[in-house]
Amino acid sequence: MRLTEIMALLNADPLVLDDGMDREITSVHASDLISEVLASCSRGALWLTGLLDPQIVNTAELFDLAGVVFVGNRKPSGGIIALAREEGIPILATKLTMFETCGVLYGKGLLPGTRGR
Amino acid sequence: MAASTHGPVLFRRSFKVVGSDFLNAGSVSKDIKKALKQLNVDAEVIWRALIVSYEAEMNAVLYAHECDITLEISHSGIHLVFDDRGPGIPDIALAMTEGFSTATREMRERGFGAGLGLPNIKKTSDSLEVTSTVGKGTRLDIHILFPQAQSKAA
Ligand SMILES: Nc1ncnc2c1ncn2[C@@H]1O[C@H](COP(=O)(O)OP(=O)(O)OP(=O)(O)O)[C@@H](O)[C@H]1O
Ligand SMILES: [Mg+2]
Repeated sequence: MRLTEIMALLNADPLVLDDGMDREITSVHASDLISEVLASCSRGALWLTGLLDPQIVNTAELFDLAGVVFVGNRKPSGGIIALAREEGIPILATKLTMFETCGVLYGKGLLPGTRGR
Repeated sequence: MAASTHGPVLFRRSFKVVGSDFLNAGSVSKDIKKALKQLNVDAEVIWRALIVSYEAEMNAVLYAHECDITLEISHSGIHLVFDDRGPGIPDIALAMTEGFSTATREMRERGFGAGLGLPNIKKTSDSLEVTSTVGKGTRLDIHILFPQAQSKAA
């Protein structure tokens, strides 16, 4: 599934768009803990989080993740958005809760990463 | 040690991390990524080196006062050393346990404290040696072998 389809499914605001919007999402990870994502993600993974910290963007860039979805109607700061734009990391924001977001994407057949498991 | 890199060092670089410097946190790993890409290192190996360097770099930012990092590359693989001045680790076996963390509330609010950093380093590398002196500091000595070097060693 592509990021553009995910955007529609989650009725999400595209806060930062990028030419990577057409990339295929390989897996989805839902966590507010960075090491938890790093333990199982791989390149092209999508990260769902409620944590608003610039380190999320840095980590997504470092590990070639496909993008970040901020869940639960959270509003990332201008600094986070500027950093994501600079690093070319797509950022979406949805009003859906973490639980609902996971439910929607899992229901559409998306799966967690299995690296390291 | 079977899983250590060997042969002449072809590339060597040093970095420094300052404790609690969240503004620059992750920048050493970013530089390491750039260097490994320039050297045409295999993408899977770069990925593994970055998990290791990011987890170790963030531990230095979170827990240490300052940390010297060296990256060495030979034909057989990547050698990373993280040598910090800091509180040290009183019980290394406990610190290596998945889920063990002394991260403060503030660290958790920044996305740290799963207690998975050191276990991730261990799983992702070919060898990890942790030495630590309480009140002095901690040293991680890590090797990541290139796939062809690994099959030769096996
Ligand atoms: N360089 C260090 N100096 C002092 N203590 C350390 C150092 N690195 C790790 N520790 C100790 O070991 C514990 C476990 O480290 P580990 O990286 O596995 O988890 P964490 O940093 O707590 O959480 P995570 O890495 O999942 O965000 C830490 O909570 C800390 O108490
Ligand atoms: Mg850690």
